[in-house]
Amino acid sequence: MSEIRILLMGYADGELGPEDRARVEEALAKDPELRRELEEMRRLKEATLGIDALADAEVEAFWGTVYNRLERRAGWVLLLAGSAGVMGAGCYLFFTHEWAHWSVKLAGASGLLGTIVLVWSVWRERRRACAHDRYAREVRR
Amino acid sequence: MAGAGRTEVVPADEQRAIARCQRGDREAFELIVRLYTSRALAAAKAVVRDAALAEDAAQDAFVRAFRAIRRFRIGEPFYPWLYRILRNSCLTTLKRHGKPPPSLDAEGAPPPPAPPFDPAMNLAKEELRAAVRDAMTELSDPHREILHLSHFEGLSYREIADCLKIPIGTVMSRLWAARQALKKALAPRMAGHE
Repeated sequence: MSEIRILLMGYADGELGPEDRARVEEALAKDPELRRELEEMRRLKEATLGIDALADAEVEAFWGTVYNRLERRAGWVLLLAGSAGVMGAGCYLFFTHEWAHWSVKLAGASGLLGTIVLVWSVWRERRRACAHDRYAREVRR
Repeated sequence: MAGAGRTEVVPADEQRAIARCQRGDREAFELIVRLYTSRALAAAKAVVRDAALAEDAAQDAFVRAFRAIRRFRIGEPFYPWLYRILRNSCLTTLKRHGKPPPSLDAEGAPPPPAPPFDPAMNLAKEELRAAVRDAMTELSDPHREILHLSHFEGLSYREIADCLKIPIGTVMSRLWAARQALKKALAPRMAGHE
């Protein structure tokens, strides 16, 4: 690729410093082909510049979904925290009180074990997904 | 570009809104989301090439951005930071839906010079814009992405470098190659208008 053509692109985009700008202007004065290319670049850029703005209703709907996602997370955190509290209290009673029949204790133990297995499984899956996501660090910057 | 659905916020207001977001203010975050929705959706579409997936990825990006916003440094430009999160969300959304991720960082061999054309010839601005959008679907992922940032978003080379985390020299060479590829893809579409 020719250096002057890359500089020409920078010139069309208004990105060059005074020295490079002078170089391009000197080349433009001599070469009609470069002038045609510059015009072509400018017209292409002018035609494409700008994002199609969404209608208000679309933005509203989009924000609604984002808001719901943010709220849902808070709901999950509260639910999990509450469940963990109930589970902890249950465990305490399970080991410290004699009143429950062995079958109730067995049911309680299997429920607790099942929860631990599921939480462990989800945590492991997420950890594996993070290990393979090379862009995960971007949100931590 | 101002228009329907785009809230006008001057940078100082934007920075103030971000500072409020950092204190957990969701109303302030609503302002940020409304300001960047159109851009985020368009950018996500340029990466994932699917409207539904792009919407999912953009929503995910805003949720991640809100959770991570305390780590944003006030005073820095917001969009490159958001764009990096968006790019990440696009890749994870594609992965979640079992689609191959785009090779956004790959540098291909420089393309041969494209045939010259006059983009103004017999084409109205809107027609040319539509033709460019259509031609961009044929381009490689890195070329499509950088053209979207430069042509449609109108970002400076510095901002593009921040978005993609590449040096400015790489921005220039990749953009030049992308424009050559675009011209090549546009040529057959222009032929019918000669």
